[in-house]
Amino acid sequence: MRARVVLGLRLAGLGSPRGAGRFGGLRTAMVTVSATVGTSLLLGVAAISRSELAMKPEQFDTPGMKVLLASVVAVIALPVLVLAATAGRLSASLRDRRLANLRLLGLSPSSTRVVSAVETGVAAVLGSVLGLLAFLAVRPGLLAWHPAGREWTAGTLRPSIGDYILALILVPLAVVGISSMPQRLSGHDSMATARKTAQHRPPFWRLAPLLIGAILASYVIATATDTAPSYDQLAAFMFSGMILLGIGMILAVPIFVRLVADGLVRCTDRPTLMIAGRRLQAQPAATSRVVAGLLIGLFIVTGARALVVAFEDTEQYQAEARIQNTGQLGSLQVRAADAPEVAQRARQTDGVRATATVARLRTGSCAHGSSNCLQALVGTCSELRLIMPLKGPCREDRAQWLIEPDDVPFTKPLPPQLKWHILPEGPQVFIVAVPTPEQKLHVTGASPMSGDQVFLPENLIDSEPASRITDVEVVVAAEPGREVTGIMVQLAGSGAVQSWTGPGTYYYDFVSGLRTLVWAIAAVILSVGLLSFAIAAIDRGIARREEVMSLLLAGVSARTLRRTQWIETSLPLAAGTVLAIGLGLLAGASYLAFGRILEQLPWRQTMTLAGISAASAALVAALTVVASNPRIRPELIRSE
Amino acid sequence: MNESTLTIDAQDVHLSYGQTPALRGVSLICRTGESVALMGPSGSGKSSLLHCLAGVLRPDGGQLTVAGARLDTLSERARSQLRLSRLGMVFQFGNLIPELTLLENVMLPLQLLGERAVAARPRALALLGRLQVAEVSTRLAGEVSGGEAQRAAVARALVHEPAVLFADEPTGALDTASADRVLDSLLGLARETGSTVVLVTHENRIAAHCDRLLSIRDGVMVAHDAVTG
Amino acid sequence: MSTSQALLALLEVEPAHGYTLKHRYDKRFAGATPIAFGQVYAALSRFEQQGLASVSEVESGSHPERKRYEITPDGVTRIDEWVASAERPTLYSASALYAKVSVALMSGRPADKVLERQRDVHMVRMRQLTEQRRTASVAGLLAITFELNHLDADLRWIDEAGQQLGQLRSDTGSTR
Repeated sequence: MRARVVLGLRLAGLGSPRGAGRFGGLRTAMVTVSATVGTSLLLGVAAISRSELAMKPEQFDTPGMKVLLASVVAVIALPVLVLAATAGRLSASLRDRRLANLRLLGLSPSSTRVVSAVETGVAAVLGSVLGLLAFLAVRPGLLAWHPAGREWTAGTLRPSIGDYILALILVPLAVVGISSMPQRLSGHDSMATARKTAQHRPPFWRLAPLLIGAILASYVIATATDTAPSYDQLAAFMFSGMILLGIGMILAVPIFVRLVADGLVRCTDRPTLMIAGRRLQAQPAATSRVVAGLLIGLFIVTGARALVVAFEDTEQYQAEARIQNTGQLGSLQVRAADAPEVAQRARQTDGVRATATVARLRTGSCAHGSSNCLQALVGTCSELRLIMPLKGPCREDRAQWLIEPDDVPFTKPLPPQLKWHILPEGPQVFIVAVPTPEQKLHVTGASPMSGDQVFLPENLIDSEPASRITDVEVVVAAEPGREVTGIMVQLAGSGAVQSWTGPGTYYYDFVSGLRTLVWAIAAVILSVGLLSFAIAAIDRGIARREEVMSLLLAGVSARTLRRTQWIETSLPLAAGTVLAIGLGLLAGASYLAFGRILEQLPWRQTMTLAGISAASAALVAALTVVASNPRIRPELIRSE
Repeated sequence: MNESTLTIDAQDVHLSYGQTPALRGVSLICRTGESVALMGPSGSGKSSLLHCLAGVLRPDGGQLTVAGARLDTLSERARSQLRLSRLGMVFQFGNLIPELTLLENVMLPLQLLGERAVAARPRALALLGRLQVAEVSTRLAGEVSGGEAQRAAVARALVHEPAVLFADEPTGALDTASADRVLDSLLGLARETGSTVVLVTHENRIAAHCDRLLSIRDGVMVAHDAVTG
Repeated sequence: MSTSQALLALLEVEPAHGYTLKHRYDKRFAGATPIAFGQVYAALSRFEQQGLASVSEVESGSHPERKRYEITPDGVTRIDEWVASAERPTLYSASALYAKVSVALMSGRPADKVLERQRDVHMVRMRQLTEQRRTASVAGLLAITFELNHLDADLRWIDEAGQQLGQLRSDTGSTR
C-alpha cells in the first residue's frame, strides 16, 4: 500500500518534478489552484448567505429568502464543481495511458485507482486547506469593506461547522472522484466514438424537456392576466416550466454544441471553420461539461435577478425607492415658536432642497385607543406635495381625505363636523371643529410619512386655536441622492430640536443589496466558469502540440491555426451563454407574470449581462489560444 | 551545369543552436526531379539540414536557394508561405489532423491556397486513388492503420505539386512491407509531378530507393556518390 | 580467393615458415574453422610459382616445412591492388570484406577508404535490386529480398566499423 501511495506522489511531481512528466507539475498546480478557489468560494458564499439570513428585515418572507439563498449556494457550487471536474480531468488521455502502463506492470485495478487518487487527491486536499486559509484571511476584509452597504458582523459572517466540513470534503472528493472515472483508454476508441458522434443524428428527444418548459413558461406569460386558468394551475405550470427549462438546458447542451459543430462543417468552404467544427464534433463531452456548468449558473442568476424584482415590489421598498429618487425626507420635532428659525437654518444647509412646517391633529376618540381614530395633517398644499405624491388638484378651502393605494375606505358614519384635538394633549384639551371632508385626494405612492387620513389646510383653522399648537414638525427634503441623516444630525445639534426622525432606508438598502449580490454572484460564476473553460482549452491545446507543430512545418500559417482554435473555443461558449441568459430571462418572466408584475422584468440589466458574458468568453478564448500555441523553435524540433 | 535545373543549391551553410554547432559548412546540389537520400548517425545534423532546406530554420551563414527562393534571406512568414505553396513535407508521425477524414486532410493544402472544395476534392481523391487508399478516404485519420495514414500523408504533401518534397524518416514507424509500399508510391508520384525528393533516413534499404545518397557526419558532408545507374 | 590474399599479406608482415603462417592465419582470420596445413603449403608453392613470394632459407631435407618464405615486390603490388579494389557485392562478400579490412589495418593501408569504396559498390547493387523488385515474380522476389537483407547487414557492419575506426583514430591518432 505504501509503495502505491509513494508512486502516486511521485507521479504528481512532489519530491521529483521530473516524475510528473513535462507538464505534470503544471497540472498539479492547476488542481491545487482549482481546489483553493473552489473551497474559498464555497465558504465565502455560505458565510454571506447565513449573514444575510440573520440580518434580513422581518417582513421578508423567510421561506422565500431561504430558497433564494439556497439557490445562491447551489449556483456558486455548480461552476465550482465544474472547475474541480475540469482540473481532475486534465491531461486525461495522457494519464490514462500512464495508468494503463501500470496495469501492464501487474498492478491490480484497485491499486491503480489508489495511485491515481493519491496523485490527484494530495494536490486537491492541499488546495482545499489553502482555500480555507484564504477564506479566513479574506474575511476581515469582507467585514471592513461593507459590500453593497452590508454591515456584516463577525458574529453573523461565519459558515457553520457543517459548511466547513462540506466544503473541505466536497471539493477534493469531486476532483478525485471525477479524475478516477475511466475514460477511453486508446486513441482508437476515442476516434471510434468521435466517428459515431459525427455520424449519428442528434437524439432530438433530449430537446423535449427544454421545449416543454419553454411552452409552459410562455403559456404562463400569455395567460397570467386572464382569469381563465386557476391560480393553482398557473402556479403548477410556472414552477414546472422553470424546472423543465433548467433541466432541459443541461440535456440540450451537447446537442447544441453538436449543432454548432455540424453547422461549421457543413455550411462553409473555409478550412479553418471546418477544422474547428470537426474538432468540436470529436470532443463534445469536455466542451459540454464546462459549458453546461457555466450555463446553469448564468441561467439561475438571470432567474434570480428576476425574482429579486418580487422583493422590489413591496410597499416599503417602493416608498424608499421613490424618495431615493425625489429626495429623502427627515423631520425635526420643534416648538412652534422655534420652527421658523429652524426651518430657515435647514434651508440654508447644503443639500437641503426645501422645508415644510406641519402639525398633526387627532380626533378625540384616539385618546381612548379606539379604532375610530383619525389623524390629520395640517399645512398648505405645497407643503403636502413635498411630503407625499398626489394625484389631482389639492384644495386650500376644504378638508380632504387622503386616500393611499390599497387603502380600505372608511365606512363608519361620521357627523357633519369633526372635532380635532390639538396635540400634544395636555391637562386642557383644545379642540378645532372642521366640516367632515367629502373630497378625496389620492396619494399615488406610499410615503414614509403615512398615517394621516385627512388633510386640513391650515387656513381652515382660526388663529386662536392655531396658536395652541405648540409642537410642530419641520420636514426637511434633501436633494435627490443625498443622505439626509447627516443633515438631520447637524440640524439637531441646536437646542431647539426636541427629536428627529430620519427616513427608513432599510428595505431599500436590503433589496438593492440583494440585487448587487446577485450581480456579484453572476460575476463570480462567470469568472469561475471561464477559468474552468480556460484550463480545459489550454489542456487541449497542449495535447495537440505535435499536430499543430507538424501543420506549422507544412507551411500552414500560425495565424490560421490560431483562428481555428479560437473559433473552436469561443463559439460554443459565447452562443451558449446568450442562450442560457435568454432562457433564464424566460423563466424569470414567467415567475413575474405569475405575480402580475411582468412589466418590471429587468431587460436592460440582463441584456448587459449577456453582452458581457459573450465578450468575456471571446476574450478568454483568445487568451487560451495565445497561451497554448507552439511556435517554431529549433529546440522543439530537435526533440521531435 | 545550367542553373535552372538546380532545385536545391546550398553553399557553405552554417547553423548553430546557441553554442552548439549543428551544420558546419554544408554544400550540396540537387537537380530537378531527382531523389536524394540523406543519411548519417544521430546527432550528425541531418535533421537540421533537412529543416534548413525546407525553410523551417534559417541558416546562420552561407547561401541557400530552394525552388528559386533565397531561404537565407527570407522572413519567417515568407518561408512559411513558401512551404505551403511550393514545398511538401512528410514526417514519421503526426502528419494528419486526426479529427478530419483522409480526404479532408489531403484537400487542406489546396483549400488553404485558396481553392474551393468542389475543385480540390476530385484532385485529392485522384491522388488517394493512386496511392490505393481511396476506399478508406472517408474514414477519420485517427482510425486508419499506420501505412494507410502515411500514404495519405504522402498524398497531402504532393497534392499541390510542390517543387520539392522533404521526408523525415517517413517509414520509420512501419514494417518492412508497408515501408516499401509507401516509399514506392512516394517516389513514383514525385516522379510524375516532377518534384525533387529529399529523404532523411538511417536505413540503407530505404536509401537504396533513391537516385543518390548523401552522407553527413558531425555537421559536414562526407563523400557523396555520383549518379550511377 | 581471399584466403590466399590473407596468407600473402601475413607474409608481407614478416617472412615465415608454413607452420608459423598457419597459426598466424588461424589467430587472425580463421574464426571457428582453422585452415588446413595442406592448403597453406599449396598456397605457398603457388605464390612461389607466380613470383609473388620466394624461398629465403632452406633447411636440410625436402619436407616443405623446411622452407622459409618471404614476399616479393610483385607480391606487395598484388596486395596493394587487392586492398584498393572493392569486392563484388555478392552474397558471399562478407568474409572477404572482413579480411580486406583486417589486412588494411594490419598493413597500415587506409582501412576507412576500403569501407567507403565497398559501401558505394554495395549501394549500387542495392539500387539495382530495389529497381528489380518492382517487376519481380514471387520466386524472384524471394531471391531479391534475401540478397537485399544480406547486403543491408553488410552495410550495417560497414557503418559500425567506420565508427569504430573513427573512435580508434581519435584514441591513438592512427589506424594501426
